[in-house]
Amino acid sequence: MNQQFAMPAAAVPVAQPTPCLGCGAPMVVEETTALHSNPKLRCGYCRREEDLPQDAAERHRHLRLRLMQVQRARESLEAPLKTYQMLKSSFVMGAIFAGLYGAWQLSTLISNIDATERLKAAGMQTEYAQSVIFAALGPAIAFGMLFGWVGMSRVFKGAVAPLLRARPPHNPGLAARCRSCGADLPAVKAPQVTCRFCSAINLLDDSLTRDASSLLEGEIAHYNAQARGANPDGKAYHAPTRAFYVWGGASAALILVGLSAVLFMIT
Amino acid sequence: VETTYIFPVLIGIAMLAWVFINWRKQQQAYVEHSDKAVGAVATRLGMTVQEGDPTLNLLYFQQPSGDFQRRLYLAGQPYGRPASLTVVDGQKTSEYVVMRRVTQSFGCFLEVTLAVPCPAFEVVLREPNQYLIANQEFAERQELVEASTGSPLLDGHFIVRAQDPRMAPALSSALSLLSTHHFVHLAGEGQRVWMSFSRFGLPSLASAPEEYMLALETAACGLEGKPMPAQVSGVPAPRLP
Repeated sequence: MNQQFAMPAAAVPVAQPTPCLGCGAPMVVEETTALHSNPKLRCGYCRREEDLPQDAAERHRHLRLRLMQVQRARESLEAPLKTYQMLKSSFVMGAIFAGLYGAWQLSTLISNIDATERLKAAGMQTEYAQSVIFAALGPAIAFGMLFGWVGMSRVFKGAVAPLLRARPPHNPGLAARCRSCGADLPAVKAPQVTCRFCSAINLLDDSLTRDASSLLEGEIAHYNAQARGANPDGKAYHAPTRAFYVWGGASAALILVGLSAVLFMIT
Repeated sequence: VETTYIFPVLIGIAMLAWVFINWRKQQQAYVEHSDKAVGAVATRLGMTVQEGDPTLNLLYFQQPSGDFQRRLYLAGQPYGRPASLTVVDGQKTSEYVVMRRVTQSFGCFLEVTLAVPCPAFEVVLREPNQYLIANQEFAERQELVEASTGSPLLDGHFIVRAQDPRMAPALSSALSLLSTHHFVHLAGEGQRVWMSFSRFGLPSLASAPEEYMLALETAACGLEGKPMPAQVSGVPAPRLP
């Protein structure tokens, strides 16, 4: 039977106080980026430095390693978003290119309307159909890309953006937490913030305070689902790219058929 | 104005703009992955660049055109033990009367020195990705037999072949660290323990050099019977999504 767990009190991280033996001020563990180096305890007031005990240094390394593994796993899970970003950044140029190409095809067909008329002669129906469909192809591709982009943006906003949102604070007034490693996020006035521990980008919006309780419940449900072996987010990161091709392909096909029909009627 | 001439020009301009934008994107990717340049990897590993271009990016390790020969050599003592990373890459063309032979060479070795010699052993993934297959240097040595680490999970994940099967459990902590990686090759003989990486495996090393180095150091400590550099449970970490 699967048990459902509520957020335990111990899940709220509490730092152990480390007073300086020289002046009594709180010492901090100096951050170190390299896994091989041992962090030091440093006092910001009397500048006292101490090596962490060997077992503490090992534990610290173990935890840094865990963060690296979590970061690598997250990057692997979110890898499909690279395709989304590539499509998003290439879309404008692609649409302009396809639009120019389509406009050229259309203008060529219309400016040579007499030649198109001659293709209506008996025995040349295939060439006539080809010339009309070919003229409609460029605009269909351009508008297909446009609608693909619209579909992709909608799916990203609905399915992916909530996954990239920071975790809400446990209590009002506390810091929002990283969606990946759970660390406290720095207070910023920006739409997103990067976690200094695991480099995850966290989206910030007013729902973090407005819907904090429902988001916390959602977080617990998400952990319970993960604990049962489900991977609810697995397919979500593929969804925007898939939406681009589905929306783009379907709309391009419809526009191709519709525009071809219009051109057949005009010519 | 005749549109027949305007549109080809506009399309040509759009294509040039596209090429420029892609070039900009490539430059941004180099900046984004600057932590995978040789100099940055050396810092991450606690080594210094002894030979080679420190700006060369190991994630985008492209081969120059034509014949070339290059060698990167990083060395240091990240955990108080001599360690090095060597990358050799080259292409040589031999012209014959009726044929031309192009020989490509590549090797990448992350290695540490042991205080005491150890019998030969080699570890690879049991079911590697089809593009991330490690070159087994001891594949033809019959005296190496499959050995058990003592953990069914690790044994199901890795193939450990060793001259002395009793040494396999000493590698379990290192293998636990490597269990989340998609490219694994670990070997040792005498006073050397090393990992080798194929050309396709090099990005794995560039992405997580600290983790590979820690696993190598853990293997060395396990073989020497020394305390581990990090608290490792000895069971494989869960396969992260």
